Amino acid sequence: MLNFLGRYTAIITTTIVFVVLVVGVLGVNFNLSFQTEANAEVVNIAGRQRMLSQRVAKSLANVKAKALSDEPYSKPLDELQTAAQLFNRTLLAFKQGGPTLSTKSGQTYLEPVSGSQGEKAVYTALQIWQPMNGLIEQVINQLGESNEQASLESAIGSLTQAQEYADSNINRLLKVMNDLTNHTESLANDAADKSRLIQSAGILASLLCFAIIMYLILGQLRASDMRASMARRETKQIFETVDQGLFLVDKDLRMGSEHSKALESIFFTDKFENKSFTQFIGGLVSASDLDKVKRYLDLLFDPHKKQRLLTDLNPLKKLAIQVEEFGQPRTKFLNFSFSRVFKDNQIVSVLSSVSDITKEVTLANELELETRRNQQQLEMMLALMGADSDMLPEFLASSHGAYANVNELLKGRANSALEFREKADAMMPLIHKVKGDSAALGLEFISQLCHQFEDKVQIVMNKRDPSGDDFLSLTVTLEQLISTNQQISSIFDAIAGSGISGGSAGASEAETGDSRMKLMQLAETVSQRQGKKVNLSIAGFDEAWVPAKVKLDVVSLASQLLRNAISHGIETPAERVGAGKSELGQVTLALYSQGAQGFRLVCEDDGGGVDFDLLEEKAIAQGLLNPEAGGKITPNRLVNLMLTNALSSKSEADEDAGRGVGLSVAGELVSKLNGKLALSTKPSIGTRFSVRFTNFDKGSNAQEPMIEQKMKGVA
Amino acid sequence: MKEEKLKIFIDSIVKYFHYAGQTSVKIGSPFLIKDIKEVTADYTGTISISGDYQGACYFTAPSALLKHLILSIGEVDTSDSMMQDAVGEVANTMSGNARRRLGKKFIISTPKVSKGAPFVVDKKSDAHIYAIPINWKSYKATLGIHLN
Repeated sequence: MLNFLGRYTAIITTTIVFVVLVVGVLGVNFNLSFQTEANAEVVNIAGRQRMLSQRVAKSLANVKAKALSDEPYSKPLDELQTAAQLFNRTLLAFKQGGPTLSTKSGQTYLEPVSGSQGEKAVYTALQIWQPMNGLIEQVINQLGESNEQASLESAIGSLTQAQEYADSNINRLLKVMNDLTNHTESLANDAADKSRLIQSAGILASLLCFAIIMYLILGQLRASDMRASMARRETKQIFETVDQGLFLVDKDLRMGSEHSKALESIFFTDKFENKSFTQFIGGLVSASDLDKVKRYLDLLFDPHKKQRLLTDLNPLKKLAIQVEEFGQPRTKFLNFSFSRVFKDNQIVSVLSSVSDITKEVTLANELELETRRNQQQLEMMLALMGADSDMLPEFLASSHGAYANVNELLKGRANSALEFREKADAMMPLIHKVKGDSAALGLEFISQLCHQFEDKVQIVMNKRDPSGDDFLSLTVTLEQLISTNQQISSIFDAIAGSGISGGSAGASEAETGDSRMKLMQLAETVSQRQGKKVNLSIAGFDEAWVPAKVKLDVVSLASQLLRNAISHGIETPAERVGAGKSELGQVTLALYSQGAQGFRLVCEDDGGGVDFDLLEEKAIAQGLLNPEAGGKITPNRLVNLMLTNALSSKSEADEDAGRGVGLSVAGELVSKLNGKLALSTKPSIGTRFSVRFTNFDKGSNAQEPMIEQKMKGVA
Repeated sequence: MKEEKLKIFIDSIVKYFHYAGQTSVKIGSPFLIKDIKEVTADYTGTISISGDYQGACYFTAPSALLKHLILSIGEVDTSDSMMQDAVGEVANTMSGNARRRLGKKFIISTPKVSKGAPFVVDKKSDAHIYAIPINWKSYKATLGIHLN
């Protein structure tokens, strides 16, 4: 308040002066108007004196004439008396001040005449009038006392004397009264002039004051305008520069008229003024979230709620909205924050600021994703570091082909349950080979995925009426497998590019030391999973010559045979003890050169041997053999079924065996490499697979398979 | 997780045709493609997905299927704009269902309908699109989904 008064002191003071002046001018004017009226009365009274002097003279003549003609003279005598008395009274009032008869009505008070000219006129008039007045009074007395003749004569004598005096002095008296009138007129004019002068001065001063007030007010307004303009300019600059979207929300939850430029670029619109905030935000959040926002806004306007608490409750800290940029959808993350605006301790509005935190959120997400990916890649890299770098490209190529074939199978049209089942069935060996290959390379995460795929295929196969959507799960796993391959490729490229080598990098094609290690690991893994105790002996893998191009297939074949030996051949420790054997099963894998152009792979176990009765039962149950159709069911035929069809002696499938696919894949590999497989088995003694490969040219280092003989089955 | 989300889109299509026509759709076995153009038919409705997941959902159908669909719901106008409306409606139904069932972590756009070349949402070059054959009567449409 004091500040306000201080800022406007000059205007207030000037206005007070102005008001005082105006009131003063009005007061003076009011007073002067009375004075003017009084002066006019004085002039009129002075003028009346002129008239009365004449009337006295005339009345004297009338009285004398009436008296001489013996006519009644009372009326002219009264006139004389009235005129003489009024003249006398008025003249005395001019002289010394006093009441007299007004020219209008009633009495008036005359001030003694001022000014030498006036005083002189009054003085002269008194000099002339007083003798005359004495004579007139004598006449009035004489005529008024009685009607006696003597008295009348005496009165006539006085009349004559008075008339003579009047005749000789009346013009002088008239002139003197005229002078008095002129003098009073002059005084009235002077007073009027003075009054005008005062009025003019007052009005001038008032106008001056008014001009000063206007000047001060305009100055103040201009200064205020400049301040407001500067404030607006600064606010505009702030609003145009600030990165955040700023706007006010009032108690009715309406958005204010001003907002920062950034708000427009955040929401791609400039229509915010007077818009309902809840309606605006409602277009960006779900209905349930909108309820939360509404409740939160209510809390913001509740003075009893603490701001710090409300900051924690803010439901719009990380709001995701979808926008379109260059025709492509994009997610934008926004952070809203709210601060209360107080006036007189009342919350009048809420200042809302919106920040685009997309970069921060995206970076955080990417960081998290990258960390996870790095973790995965690290694990993958560790696995790859131990893998045979010579075999890895071959594995990637063959698995890529297998995945493409599986995808083609998925793509193929199927109209019946049978066709869907056939489709699923066709996928099994493709994936099983990848599983074996990956296991041979120690890529456990791939063999697990392959196993999941096989499980899902089995589910489809087991369905009474499989349909297309049953394959969705398979397709999802296939994508994971493909994606894993892509990751391995990129990591492998990175390793190759960086000069970091895997376990056998730099080794010659004849060296298969890494394969040896992988097979040992596989034996350990499978035996643990199967609850068996196995001692694996590997021979020749460090020395035997194997062409590089077929190395993966040979190791894959070895791993399939090894897996088969542990899963099917070796009994559980309890069974072995029951059969009088050692708990520890023996499996031997041997790879050795044979002649100039060949090599042999042998897998031998001391397990229970092939159970041909069980195989026959399963083959019949699966419809692979029809005993009624005739023909002898020989062990050779059953082994051929094992190697070419999905026939397994295991009652339940697990990660290692049971689907009959393992030996089927082994059979395919033997066939692919033009190998010759021989199988010998004895119940409770063991089983021996021996595969001979010939016609590989060591000099050209190329695969030159000699089609010597198709696999002949059991030896 | 991914399978459940894919199923939401597939279920939406199945339900739409279930309510629209007398014959239910048959889903073919889903397979993987690199580019939606590999399966694009005459008309395509595209929904973009953003939020915690990024991707798109396409419904692409030949005009013969759309004509039959329009006639089966009692409409006689099988003009180009009606067919665009039809494919847009299928995509819109999918979009609505997905929005309702996937929750706020998914931001599902309104569909964009195109004739001929589809509106393609950007994706990584090595990312796959799930192509799900939709067989209705003797016609074949495709639902394409990619989610990252």
